[in-house]
Amino acid sequence: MTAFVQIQGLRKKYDNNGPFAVGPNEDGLNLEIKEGEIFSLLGPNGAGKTTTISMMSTLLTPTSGEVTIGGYSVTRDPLGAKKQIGVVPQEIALYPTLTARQNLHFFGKMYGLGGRELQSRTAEVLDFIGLKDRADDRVEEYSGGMKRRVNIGVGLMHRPRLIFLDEPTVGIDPQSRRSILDTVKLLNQEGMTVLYTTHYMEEAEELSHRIGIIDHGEIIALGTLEELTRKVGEQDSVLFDVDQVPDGVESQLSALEGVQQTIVQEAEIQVMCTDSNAILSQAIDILTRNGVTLHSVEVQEPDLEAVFLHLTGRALRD
Amino acid sequence: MLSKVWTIAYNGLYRVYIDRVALLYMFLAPLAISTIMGLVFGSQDGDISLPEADVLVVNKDQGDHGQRYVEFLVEDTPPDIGELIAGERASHVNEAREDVEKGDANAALIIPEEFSEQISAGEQTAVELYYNPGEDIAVTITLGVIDGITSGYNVNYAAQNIFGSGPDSFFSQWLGPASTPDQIDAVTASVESKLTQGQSVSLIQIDEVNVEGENEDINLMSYFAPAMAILFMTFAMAAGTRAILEERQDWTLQRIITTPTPRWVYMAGRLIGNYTTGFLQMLILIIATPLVALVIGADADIWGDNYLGVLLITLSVVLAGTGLGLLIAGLSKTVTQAEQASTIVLFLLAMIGGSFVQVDQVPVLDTLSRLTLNYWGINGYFDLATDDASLVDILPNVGVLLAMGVIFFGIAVWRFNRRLDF
Repeated sequence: MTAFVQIQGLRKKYDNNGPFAVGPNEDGLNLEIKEGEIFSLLGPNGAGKTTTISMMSTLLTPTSGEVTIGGYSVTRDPLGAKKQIGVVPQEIALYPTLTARQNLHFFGKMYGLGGRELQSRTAEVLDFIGLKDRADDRVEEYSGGMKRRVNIGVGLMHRPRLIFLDEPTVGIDPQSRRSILDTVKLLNQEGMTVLYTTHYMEEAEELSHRIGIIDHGEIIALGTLEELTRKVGEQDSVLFDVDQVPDGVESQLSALEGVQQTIVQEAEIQVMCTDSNAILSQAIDILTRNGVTLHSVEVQEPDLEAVFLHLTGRALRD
Repeated sequence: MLSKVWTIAYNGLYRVYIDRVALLYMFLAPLAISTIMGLVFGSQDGDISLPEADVLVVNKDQGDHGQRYVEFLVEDTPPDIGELIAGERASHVNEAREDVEKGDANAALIIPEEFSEQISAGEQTAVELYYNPGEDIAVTITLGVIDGITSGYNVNYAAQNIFGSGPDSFFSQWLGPASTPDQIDAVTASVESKLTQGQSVSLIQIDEVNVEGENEDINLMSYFAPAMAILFMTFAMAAGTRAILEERQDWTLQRIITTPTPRWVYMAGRLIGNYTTGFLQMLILIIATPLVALVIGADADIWGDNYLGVLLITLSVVLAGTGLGLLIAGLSKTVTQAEQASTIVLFLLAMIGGSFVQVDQVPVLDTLSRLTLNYWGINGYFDLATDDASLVDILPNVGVLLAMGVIFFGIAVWRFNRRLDF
């Protein structure tokens, strides 16, 4: 697959005297997204996902660096670049007093559609997002999930080659979330390149061909799910749910043979080790001796959460 | 790109059209308020407030009777009258008339030569009140005061007509302690007959002459209808331009910017939509207010018959209103800030600009009001309706409104360019 999106040395700071929100290192943010892939940008809130997408979609002017989409530079030929992309923002960016059909019509015209093409494309999109029967109801009367579907539909009106989906499942019920994830897969099967940002690792794991983990405005890991989890090695993660963590417990656990890292967060202790079976009884013994009440123990296989933890020392959901 | 400009403009218009609250606010509220104000204040002799009237007194008479007017109005004015009238002597009739025409005085009282001689001889005579029809309240006050002085002469004159040498001798001649019912009836019939004759005859008449040389009724709806229409138009324009901030907050603006649509197309579309909304609002109110007046039996001649003049004022006042709304939105950071700022600024401008009271009756406002679009708009419409103003006459109003529009737009667009950078 060839690179459809090329990001080179991208940096952004909002305030001349402030820090860089994206690309804090001199090299800036560098990334390639291949045509036809689902690429997920995974990171906690405030990591720089939306800022990156905003620069890619011409909403923000980069402080430095370059983004090209389908060969069009977003800074030198923004109109050319914008014709390649459909943007689905995190917010429900719709006119609530208009119907779904009217919203699709309006934004379709903004994408340059007109006449019969606009009519037929509106009908296709309404069908695709499953709102054909409610097409003429005002958006303000829709449920959260239905609004999300229209929000996605607007970004599809002009059949973009690349679609940006910025946290599209935030604040919706599990059923609607499932529907959106299936929609993303379907779009990709039809040949659309997808840039998906999320802070839910399960979504990134399920959808992505490749994943970029972003933190503090820089990509700290990049690859397929297998490549990323391999970074953590054959580590096991043992999670202890406790009532308290007295001083000294963390160092005693870290001193056990085979333990690579111990992370304490409020009433949780996470121990990264080569063999969970070897340390489990000793760890429980340490906790009991220190007067800790143990509520539960969970042994986890390596996943993106573990990767993030391994790379940053923090949990992804923080 | 032009089709996108129209699409964005239509989007704004359509969303106003389907918003019942906005329609109520834009059309029914100004219609109702201007109608109520017009009905409450009536027509020419409406008493909105009691401002001081500047009256010039030109006394060509050499006798005592002319001097009585001068004393009452200028030299020895009773305190309660002095609160209403500021009299000043003038030497020349033409100069006094010019002052009235220029608006330097509200009215001029002209007392003719041989006025005293004619009164002493019992001959009928007249004083002339020369006034500006636009100054109706001041004129009404002046007229009332002059009428008070004049009626003293006229009552005496009427009494002499009826009773000859006076009431006492009249009654003693006809009636005594033992008067019969027939005698009383005869006296009553005689008095009635003489009163009827006396009513039709006044010793001193007041000739009311306006600057156009003829008497004229002033319909106060001609003032309050445009005043309210402009007030509510400016609020609608502020709400319309504030919608740009709302779109930014709701992310529809950002979504439009991510489509192949340049930022100037968005701005042009929103402003054209907003301007069209304001123009239609004014147009509908201009058509609807006379119809409402007809229905309630009031004077339906509110806007005059200089349609081109009305159109010019409308086009320019809406431009200034749109620019002002955009300026307020451009200077505000949030929707809430813009809402609060527009409420304060627009009401203040309306008060200063004469939307609630005729500013030429309040000396301080008379000058300050010229800084507001309300003043230039209201006076443009009012002159067209009540003064038969020509297109040339309203050109200053149109010019000032256009200039305000251009200045507001210039500053606002510069500010808004920063709002469109995310």
